[in-house]
Amino acid sequence: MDVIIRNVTKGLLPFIIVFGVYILLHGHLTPGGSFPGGVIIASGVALLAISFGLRKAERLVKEETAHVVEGIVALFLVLVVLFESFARDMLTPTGMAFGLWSAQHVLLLNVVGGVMVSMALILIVFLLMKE
Amino acid sequence: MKGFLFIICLIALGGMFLYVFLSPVFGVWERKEVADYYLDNAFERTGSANVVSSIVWDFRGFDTLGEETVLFTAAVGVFTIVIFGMKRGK
Repeated sequence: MDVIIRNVTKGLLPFIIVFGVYILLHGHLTPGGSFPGGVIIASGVALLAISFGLRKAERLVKEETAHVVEGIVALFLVLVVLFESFARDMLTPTGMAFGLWSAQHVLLLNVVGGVMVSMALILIVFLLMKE
Repeated sequence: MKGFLFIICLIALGGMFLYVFLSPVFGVWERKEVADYYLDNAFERTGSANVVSSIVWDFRGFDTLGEETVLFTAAVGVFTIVIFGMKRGK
């Protein structure tokens, strides 16, 4: 790809991924949540794959890793949601209000769903680029 | 026959547009107990400062689970198509 795109990607990629993680972790406090955060992380990896090629992007996230992590995370998400609906009273919110460590199950589900969204989109991008 | 069907579709579409334009203003309705309940109790029940996030992952958790299932199915579908296409290409 173009040298401008390569250099911009080199400088910008850590910030894109850190911003995605920030949106995932602060989903219960600020606008955003699991889907926007996961899409931002996946778009960072897609930018790397487009500008540097698939082989360099697979150094960051391997395709097999994406498969395994997505399956495990999907199973975990189903289990958490089912458990939450059956044992509603055990998950009372504790911790400091408006702090990062509040609303535990919303925080947990945000992070888990965000990882699943990012892995699914990374997998789609990798497979379509390989084809 | 085709012209007849076309006219019927056109009338149905026009009726739908007319219904939307003549219905009350969006966001103004009389029974909104659910929305008021969410706005009043979301913080006490979930501890989440973001009401949208608490609705998405708490009050409507099964809806979001279905959404994630759609995404998972999309990834599995792309995987299946690409792998079978590669096998057939060889």
